Amino acid sequence: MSDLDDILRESLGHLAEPGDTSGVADAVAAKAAALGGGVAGGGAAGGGFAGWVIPVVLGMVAVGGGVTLGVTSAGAGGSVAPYSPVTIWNGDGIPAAACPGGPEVTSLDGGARVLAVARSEDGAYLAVRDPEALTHTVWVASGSATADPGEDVTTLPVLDCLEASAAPSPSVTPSVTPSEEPTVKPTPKPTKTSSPKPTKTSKPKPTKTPDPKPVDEKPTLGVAKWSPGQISGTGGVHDSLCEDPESATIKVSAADDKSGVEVSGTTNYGPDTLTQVSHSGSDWVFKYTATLGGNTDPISVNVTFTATDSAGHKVSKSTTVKVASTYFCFG
Amino acid sequence: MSVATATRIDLEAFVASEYPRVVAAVRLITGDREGAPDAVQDALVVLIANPPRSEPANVAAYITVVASNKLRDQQRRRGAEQRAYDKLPQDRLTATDVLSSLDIDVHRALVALPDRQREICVLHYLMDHSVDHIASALGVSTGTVKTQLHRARAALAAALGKEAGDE
Repeated sequence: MSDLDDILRESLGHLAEPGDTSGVADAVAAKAAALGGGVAGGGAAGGGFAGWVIPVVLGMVAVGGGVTLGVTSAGAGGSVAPYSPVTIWNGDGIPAAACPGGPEVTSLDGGARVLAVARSEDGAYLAVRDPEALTHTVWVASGSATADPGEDVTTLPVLDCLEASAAPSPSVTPSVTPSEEPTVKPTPKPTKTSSPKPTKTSKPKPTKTPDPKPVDEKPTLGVAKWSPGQISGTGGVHDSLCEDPESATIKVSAADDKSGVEVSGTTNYGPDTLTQVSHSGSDWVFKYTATLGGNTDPISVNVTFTATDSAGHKVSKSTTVKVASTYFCFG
Repeated sequence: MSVATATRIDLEAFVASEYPRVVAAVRLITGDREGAPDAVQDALVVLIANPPRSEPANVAAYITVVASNKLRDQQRRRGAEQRAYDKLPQDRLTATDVLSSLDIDVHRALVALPDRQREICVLHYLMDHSVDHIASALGVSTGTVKTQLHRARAALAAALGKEAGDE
């Protein structure tokens, strides 16, 4: 230990202006509850968060006169609307979709306790936090969930699927950039059958030209950027990326002249997932999530979507998403 | 600090024991006296509502870095970083009148350091965080922290007319 170190420690102690703690815990708890969060660690404040655990039911409860974020339980009281803890009772697990009534994207274990954050307009579905990814929301049938005593899921806000999905990060305002031109394969023209030339001696016989058989074209596929992480330009890129770290949302449009199409996607980056968030008509929304760990710079990932029609025709289109790590965004 | 369960952060206890020092560190790192409390609170909200995938090795260090990054981003956008620093010594002298000339010299030398070196110095000398914890909070290697700390000490020693010596 040198004289310089002693000087620095002493002077920095003199220069330090400690923060005023009055009302801080309440303010932080209220803001966190408003965002629907409540993940907590178990270590001492000055040390590490040993045994970091992600709870499945979160809320704000009053404990001993103070405000503590943690697991709510029946009878704990003080749960703050609009979030209601519910228990998934189906023993075999129930399907959960990205949107009310949509295709299954995951399933919840029987007996899982989750936090309901919204309901569909008809009340048939509840939007709940995905226990596997608490920043995401999935929809389950209301009949498969039982609210905790004293909780009333009918008072939850009515949201559609995209609004509910955005609920954990209300500050995110997706920006839509113009869709790329869809790739369209030229339609094969039917072959003309030439009619025989009439002769003078015979009455020309009209030749029947067969109707061209309808050709089942390949589907058309367009990929539109639709993510805060893909806003280009200077000055706003960093902030836009960090509104939804390690994630990007991509809009895909696909259609076929004869039938419906299925759309799937692949990426060229390893630890990541590509999940269908919604599908309506010819529009799909996919959520890309990468695990970037301690990467200090944003990365660009190539995502390729393939649309397949009922005849097996395929067409692919790629786009690039730019995502930033949590470390990049928050230190 | 008492922690009731493994799934609960005792926010009140964290605020009581760590918050004052974290705010002080962010003020020294960024020079933004007014913005530091809000930035620290926002960082706590983010940690609770949208936690990182990997757990922070040290929560106080993590919050300090997150809040400092946010304020520096804001300062860069405003182009007012230097103005914020210029305000600090005068405000401090007026407010407390207990700073020695050496304290003021240290402050000036600290302000003159590059952002990252100043941040590491404050985390190390004010908050007593280890090199490992600082590296984890910054998302860099321990070697990087050691290198930056070495350069910072050399610069501070030169500014203060002291020998850097060995820590």
